[in-house]
Amino acid sequence: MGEEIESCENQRQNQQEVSNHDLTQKKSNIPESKEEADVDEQVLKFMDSVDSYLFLIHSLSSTLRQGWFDLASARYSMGASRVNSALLDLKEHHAATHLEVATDEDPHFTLCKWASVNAEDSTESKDGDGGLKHNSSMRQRHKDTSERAGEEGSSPAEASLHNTVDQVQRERVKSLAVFGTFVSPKLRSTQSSFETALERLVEIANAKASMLSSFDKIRGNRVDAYDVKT
Amino acid sequence: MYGFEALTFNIHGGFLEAIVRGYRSGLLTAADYNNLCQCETLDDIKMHLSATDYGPYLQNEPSPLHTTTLVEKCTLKLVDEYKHMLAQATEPLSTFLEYITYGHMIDNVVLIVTGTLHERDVQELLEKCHPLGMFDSIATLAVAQNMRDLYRLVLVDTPLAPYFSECITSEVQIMKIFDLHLGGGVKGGRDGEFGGGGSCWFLSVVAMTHEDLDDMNIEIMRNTLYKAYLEDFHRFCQKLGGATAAIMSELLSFEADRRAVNITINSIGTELTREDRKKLYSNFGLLYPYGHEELAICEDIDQVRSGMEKYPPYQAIFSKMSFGESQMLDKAFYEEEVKRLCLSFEQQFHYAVFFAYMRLREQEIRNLMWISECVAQNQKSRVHDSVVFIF
Repeated sequence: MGEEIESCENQRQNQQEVSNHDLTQKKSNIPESKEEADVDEQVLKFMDSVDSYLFLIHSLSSTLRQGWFDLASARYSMGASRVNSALLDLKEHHAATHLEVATDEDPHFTLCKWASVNAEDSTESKDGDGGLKHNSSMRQRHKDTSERAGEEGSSPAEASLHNTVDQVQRERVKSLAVFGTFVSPKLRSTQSSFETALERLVEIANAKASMLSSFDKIRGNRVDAYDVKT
Repeated sequence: MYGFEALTFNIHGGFLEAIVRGYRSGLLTAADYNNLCQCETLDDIKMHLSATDYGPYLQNEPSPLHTTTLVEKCTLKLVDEYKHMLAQATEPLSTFLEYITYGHMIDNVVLIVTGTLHERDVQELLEKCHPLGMFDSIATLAVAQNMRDLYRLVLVDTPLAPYFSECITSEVQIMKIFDLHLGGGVKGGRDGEFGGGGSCWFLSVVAMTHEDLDDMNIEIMRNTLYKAYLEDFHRFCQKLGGATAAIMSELLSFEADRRAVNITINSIGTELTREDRKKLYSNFGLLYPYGHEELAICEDIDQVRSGMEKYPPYQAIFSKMSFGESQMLDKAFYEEEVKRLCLSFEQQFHYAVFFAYMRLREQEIRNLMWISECVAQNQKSRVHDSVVFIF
């Protein structure tokens, strides 16, 4: 009887030890699942970046095709003597569009379209360019514009926006003036296509930077996990 | 029949009319275009063209072929045929044939001046000029800084000199009227229509605007020169009379009307005022003068359409397009032009066949350029957007 009681107690102690061991094991598994969740999130972010990158590549290809086709249409309409490379301006002049690169955490590219030489004008064209909403790098500036408009009042912001849109339109006409002042609407649509292609290129650069950043993080996590195991 | 051309035309013009009708039979047909539209590469196009009149001009071109090379060689063929006809022609046919090239001359002048303004090499610009519009002193255009220099240094010795009088200021026009009242004459037009006397002409030249050449002035100059050329060509054909006058009047009127529509559409959204736009329209044609009044105030393509639809020949053209669309307008105009040019061959003993043949060849070269571009860009599905079949 005493032996049976001892064996029961021994069994109970063993079970308790096993349950304690299991409890300890579960406690040690909780940090590991959180790490896996982080890795999963990084992988999803990477896959999203790749998907957007491929989509933008396809969009760029179709935009460029349309641009070249419109250029051929413009040459058909206006004649080869009016639309050819010999008319491009070789005089020294400032760039109508430039790229800004921010390298805080990840590289980020921002396109400043139709910005003039004057810094004030450049700021206006960046902040008030409400007509160019399709570019993702421009959306942040458009958001800044709307915030600023809320602070200053609607009329001055609208007037500023209108002035900037006029300036952008003048810059567009000025850049086409190398082919003559009265150009075919097809040449204007060519300009629009290549302008869109430039925006896509900047978006592709940003998507690629995001993709590479996600990939580096995933690779870093895998190296850490390998070190822990060994 | 408009007169008694049948009695006398063949004495001087019969041989060349036969030549040009022979050239006409060498134009590409719909079957040729269907074969070309199915080509996969530019070398395939070259192979198909080797069986046509373009064969000798393309056979020595190395692969890979470029669209500009194809167009250049096809243009060379047109130039050779033109020079052959010009060498055989007597007056007034030789003058008529020279008139056909003045449009290309104007384009070349503007190309050289614009390219020089953009600091391009003159040699590079000369290579881009149309061979039908070349003249001896064309390279000297690069020296001119303003309109006065342009005229004084170069254009005074060219057939374009009389057309430059349209570019002078209104003050000088008042001086011309004053001098006319004094008994002098004004030299203008190829045929000296306004009478002899160089004194007033000298006054108008000396007082010519000293405005520097910029993009807007060059564009105004281009359109003003072309307007003066069309009006002068029209006057010359009217003086010839007979079937030539009747058929060429129709063809040149269509050209003037088409230019008016193109100037209107292309100047929408630019700084050109309504008055200045109206000054660029020719003073003849179906749209003159009431159609021009409506076109001058148009601000978009739909207003152009509503103005043009009042004229039956152009109503048919605009009916092919949807509202707000202008992409197919060029093709529609080219199709109408080709139809009129082909009809001119239905009659004999007139000079319009020469003009029609040159224009039909230019359209054919445009078609080949378009097909080549579509094949090179892998856009064969859109090749029929702009090809205009001649037969």
